[in-house]
Amino acid sequence: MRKFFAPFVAAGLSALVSLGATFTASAAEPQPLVSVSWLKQHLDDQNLLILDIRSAIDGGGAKAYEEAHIPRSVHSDYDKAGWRVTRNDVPFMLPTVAELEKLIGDIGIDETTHVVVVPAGVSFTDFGSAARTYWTLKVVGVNNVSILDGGVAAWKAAGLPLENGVKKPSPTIFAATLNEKLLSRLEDVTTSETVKNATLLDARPASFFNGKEKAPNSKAYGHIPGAVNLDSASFYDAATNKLKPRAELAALAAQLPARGPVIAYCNTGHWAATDWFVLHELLGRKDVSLYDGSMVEWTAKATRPIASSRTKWDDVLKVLGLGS
Amino acid sequence: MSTATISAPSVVAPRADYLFVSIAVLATAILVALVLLDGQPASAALVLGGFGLGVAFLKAEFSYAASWRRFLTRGEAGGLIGGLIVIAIAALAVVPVASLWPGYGGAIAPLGPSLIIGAFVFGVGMQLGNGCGSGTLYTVGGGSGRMLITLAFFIIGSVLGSLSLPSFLALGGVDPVLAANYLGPWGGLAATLASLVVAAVILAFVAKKRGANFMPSRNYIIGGIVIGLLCIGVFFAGGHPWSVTFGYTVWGAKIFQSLGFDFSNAAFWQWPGPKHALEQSVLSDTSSLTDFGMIFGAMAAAAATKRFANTPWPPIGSLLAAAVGGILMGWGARLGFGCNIGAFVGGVASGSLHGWVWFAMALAGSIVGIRLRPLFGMSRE
Amino acid sequence: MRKVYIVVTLAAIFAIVGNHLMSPSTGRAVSPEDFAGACAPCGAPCPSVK
Repeated sequence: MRKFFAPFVAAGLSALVSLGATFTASAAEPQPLVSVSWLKQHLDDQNLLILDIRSAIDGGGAKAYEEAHIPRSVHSDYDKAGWRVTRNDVPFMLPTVAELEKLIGDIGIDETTHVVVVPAGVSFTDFGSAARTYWTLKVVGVNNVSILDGGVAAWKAAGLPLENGVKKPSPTIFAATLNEKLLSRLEDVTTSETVKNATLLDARPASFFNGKEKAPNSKAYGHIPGAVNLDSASFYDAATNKLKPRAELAALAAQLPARGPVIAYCNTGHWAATDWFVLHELLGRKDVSLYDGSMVEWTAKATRPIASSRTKWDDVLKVLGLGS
Repeated sequence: MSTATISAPSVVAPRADYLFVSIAVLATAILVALVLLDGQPASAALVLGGFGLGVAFLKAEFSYAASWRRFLTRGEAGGLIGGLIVIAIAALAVVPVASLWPGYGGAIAPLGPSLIIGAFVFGVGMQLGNGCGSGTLYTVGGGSGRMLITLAFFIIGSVLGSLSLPSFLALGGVDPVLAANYLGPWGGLAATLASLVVAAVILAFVAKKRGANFMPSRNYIIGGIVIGLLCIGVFFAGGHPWSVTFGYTVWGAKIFQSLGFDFSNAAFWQWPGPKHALEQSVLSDTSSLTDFGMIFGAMAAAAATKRFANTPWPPIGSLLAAAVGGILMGWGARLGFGCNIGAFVGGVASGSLHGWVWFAMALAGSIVGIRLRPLFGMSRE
Repeated sequence: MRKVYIVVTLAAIFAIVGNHLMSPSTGRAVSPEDFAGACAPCGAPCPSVK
């Protein structure tokens, strides 16, 4: 019996230590979504970088940041700073690795930084900006990223203090590691393997899916044949301007086939980022990627098939100004 | 030959039948507006070209079926030769342009049992139906109720033909023989025109031997030139020579589809052209556009000078012949890759050998068709 | 016969316009790029191509 005493004690002690570690670690462990109270608690953490991404998309931008922002946050305009670039005449694509190393490094983010992406917190489209920024960071190897649920609006609603002025970022060297699994390109969407096994997830509102309206940069109405429609807005609670509770998100995601790869797309990979975020980051579904070219790239060539329930009557209504 | 006979003596001054003129013009305007709204000016040109063809055919009473019948019974070759004028003029544009410009093609078809049988059956039907592809259109537009029956059964026969064509094609054949492929665009044109001259000479020779006339009448000469020029316009607007019966096939299939018939197992309707035509608007089919235009053009021309559709219905035998003739023409046109316009005019004007083969077989079929006319109480002439 | 013509003509116009307005639209100009390899104008494949 005495032979086992020391190992017993060692085992018990390490159990106690790891138990203690899990309690403290849960606070520092990467969480895709963080609450305002969490951020308030961790505001002065060493490795934290709060990234305010407000832009014209949410009605804000550099000016809104200057007037009032979460203390210690730096600003990068989601729409103008270069988070999305035009390539081969297709707008809003993922920049090159070199471009992202510069963009992200200049903000002061490197591979070890914990980035908290802060949207304005005003709509599901604005949440999409955060999701797309989050995805971009993860694609190039910034692994510790969170989105502030509710954004600046929630911080304000909680009565927490805001700063004004501009906090200049401190640039650093960022060495990117491309995480190809998160990105689907045009070639990936058209392989027979994808056609057979993958689920194409259209994150747009039903009117876009059905072909009743389209993005200005798209050349045709409708969706990629075989795609399933899960509007990114359905994950979002417009009343509270936060994502819906985990259980509701899971129930919505249950529409999809339980197994197999999922490729999320929309018009330009913005709304689709929310679908990707919910499925891959929050619900932990493996093998979910974002097709950033989306419908704008897909419709650029007339030879690629489109499924739609649009009719010529819709075209007539559009000409008469009664439709889109 | 005219199926829209004047029932009153010509003492009465021509009076327009405003109802039908308005219907025809309004219908044409609606079609033009719809395709323009769709951003398709070429489609509008096809409707209007068809309208012109309807007027020309009606005014000239330009009948292939009747002129062939006159030649076969009496040796009178004027109308037949007049019909060749259309082809000669059209060939001037079609042979070189189809060979030289991408995006433009001729009417080409393989040579085999399908062509031979189809053209022969069409020839039989042509003489029973009292019209052919173009003839049916301008006489329907001109107000002949009998031809409405021919057209209706022509449409049905076309759908049946679409279901038969794949198996007849499987019987084999020789790939299309195009003059331009062997002689270049201009050599091909020369050969095509030469073949038309040779045909005219042979027909004139036969006519002379039988003591009949071979000079085309004024109607046929002027009509032939006008129609030939309109053919060139239709060719440029549509990218391929004027065709008639594909339109009927599409209308029939769309109607049957709306009644529940499923074409997903029919090989013809899985080929890219037909599949597209069946799924898309009928106004996206070039053949349908000229067909509609032609019917309304003939209607406007007919109603412009006299009371429209003012003739009584012919006897039941004639109506029966119309139905039988229509079915035979519809089925035969699909197997034969078109009618007198699509296969004969279009084929020869493209420098494709199949056009002449079609002509010879259809002429042979017409001999049989003429013999069958008395069975339905119709005269041989 | 006039009455038959009026009925048939109006029915035809109705059917044509109805078919057109209910037909699918991708909202882009249609181009017959998918007729490559067609032999006869109806799209029948050539014997050698089959």
